Amino acid sequence: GYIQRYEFGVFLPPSWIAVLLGQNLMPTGFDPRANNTSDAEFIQTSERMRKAILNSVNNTPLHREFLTRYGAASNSKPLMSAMASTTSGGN
Amino acid sequence: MSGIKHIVIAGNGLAVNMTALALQQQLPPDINLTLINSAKYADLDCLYGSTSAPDMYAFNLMLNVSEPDLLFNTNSTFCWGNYFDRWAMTPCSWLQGFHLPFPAMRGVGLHHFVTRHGETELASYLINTQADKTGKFAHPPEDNRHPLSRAEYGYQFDVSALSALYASKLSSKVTVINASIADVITNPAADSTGNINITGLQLDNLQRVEADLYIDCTGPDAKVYSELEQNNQVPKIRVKNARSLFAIHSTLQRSEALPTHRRIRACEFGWQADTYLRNCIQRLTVCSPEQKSQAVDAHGAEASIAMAFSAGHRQQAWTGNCVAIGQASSLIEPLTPAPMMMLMRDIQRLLELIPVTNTMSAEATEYNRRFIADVEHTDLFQGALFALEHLPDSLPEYTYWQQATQFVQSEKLTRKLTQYHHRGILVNYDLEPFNEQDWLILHSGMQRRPQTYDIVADQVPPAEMANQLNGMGNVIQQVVSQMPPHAIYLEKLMAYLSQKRNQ
Repeated sequence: GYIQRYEFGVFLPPSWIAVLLGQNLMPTGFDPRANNTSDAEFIQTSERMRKAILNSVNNTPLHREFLTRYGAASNSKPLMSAMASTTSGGN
Repeated sequence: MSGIKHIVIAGNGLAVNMTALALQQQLPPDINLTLINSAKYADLDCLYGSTSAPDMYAFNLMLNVSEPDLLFNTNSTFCWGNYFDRWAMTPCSWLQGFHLPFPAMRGVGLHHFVTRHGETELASYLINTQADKTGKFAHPPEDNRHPLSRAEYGYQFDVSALSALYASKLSSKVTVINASIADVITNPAADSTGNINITGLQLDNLQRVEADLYIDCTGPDAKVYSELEQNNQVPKIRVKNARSLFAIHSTLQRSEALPTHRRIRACEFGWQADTYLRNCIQRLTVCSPEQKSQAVDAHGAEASIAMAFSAGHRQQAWTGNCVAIGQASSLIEPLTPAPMMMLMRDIQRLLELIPVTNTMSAEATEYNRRFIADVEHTDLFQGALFALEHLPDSLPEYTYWQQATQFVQSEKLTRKLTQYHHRGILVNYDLEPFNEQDWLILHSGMQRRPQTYDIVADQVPPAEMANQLNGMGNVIQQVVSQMPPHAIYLEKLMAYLSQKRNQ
């Protein structure tokens, strides 16, 4: 799970982690220092993170609503029909 | 996941204590640590130098060593940087200080405006340099609107006291064995990656210690690591850029004055540095071996340590199941905080690459890549101190200086100096130990002047630029005038910390 460090890399470590995990390249080991955190502590922390993220997402407007609110929505026909067919909570 | 269960750290002095403490603090309790404390090589600790860069503060916190711990348990003082006094017997005298990124106007760095303004030095705009001139010190405040917040500081320290402080923080998590290494036992058969590994250390107390990973902090001879170099496919030229030098170290009485820098004086035979601690001065003289008697005469005190050493670095620092840390991997002339910076980097690198299995080739490959990058980039900065081509007829004819310039030849350094000279560009390499501010202060101090500046600076009308620069200089002088002398600040700080500790 080690990410090679480059100061001037075009892509930062989070991008590398995303692209590697996204393609199912799973690490077979992890930094031993992670064992300083107990399973219970890790579960508690990650559950807190998960709830905070879920809460923020649930309170975030739909993309279309946001664009409309900011006056950036286009009234061109192809775009309007595409936006009209967007399902709730979809991208 | 089967992994490393036992790590042995062998050596004596700063490197072994610092490494053991870092592993104790950072690794989980299921990894056993054994420190084999051999009674040799502590004298060479003076070659780690006696000043630290600002990053020592955070590194110490990782080791659970606070600044009050450091101040109470050692004679440390604060340090704006190293003051080079008539370096290489040229008129170049400057404070090689520590600083946060310089301000920019319209996205263009300060040094371009200084060039445009027709000035030759950055010193007027560096608050730590101005404070150092009159021996003033105060902790930089967190409020980044305050001019002093841009300064950074390090410490002046006694390396043996620092080593003792780290040793005192070791807990029962680290098993300490006071013995010397009589023999290093290796497995005659190579492992699946073709490496010979260490299977145990035979000690002079007849004990045999076996571990999964061996860390060699025994100093330049690298008693443990060198066994693997002989057996493995390690390049024959083991130490790169080796340069023979001689060092003399003493402790002297301190006068009333307490400078906020380590002073480095250039001499015909080499250089002499005075470090100002709370109750004494530590003096280190470094010279070429050929000029040893001249250096001893000029040292000005009876030597407590006098020894020859070879500055240079190994071609790799991790072979098989053994890692060389500190002087076991690289010995750097202590002209700057570089030796301490490299030791801290060695330890940090090791922590990030503690093996997850007994097959360590992936970790070793990455460790060696970063080690070589760190040591070569450190050499660039130190080498720049001897690049004197821009000062006509300035290279002293004496052996030390002539030999030093032979080690400066480097394509990367040439590129840095050429680009800076051409248009004030700072060429950066990956994760350099010395940052842009360090390089700008060095160039300014050594009177390297760019031929031109970034033309984007011309967006700023000359009057506005002059106004800004004058304003900066005036505010700095005003703040410095209100700062206390270093000795008084330290005295009051210690009184405050004592009071807090007793509450």
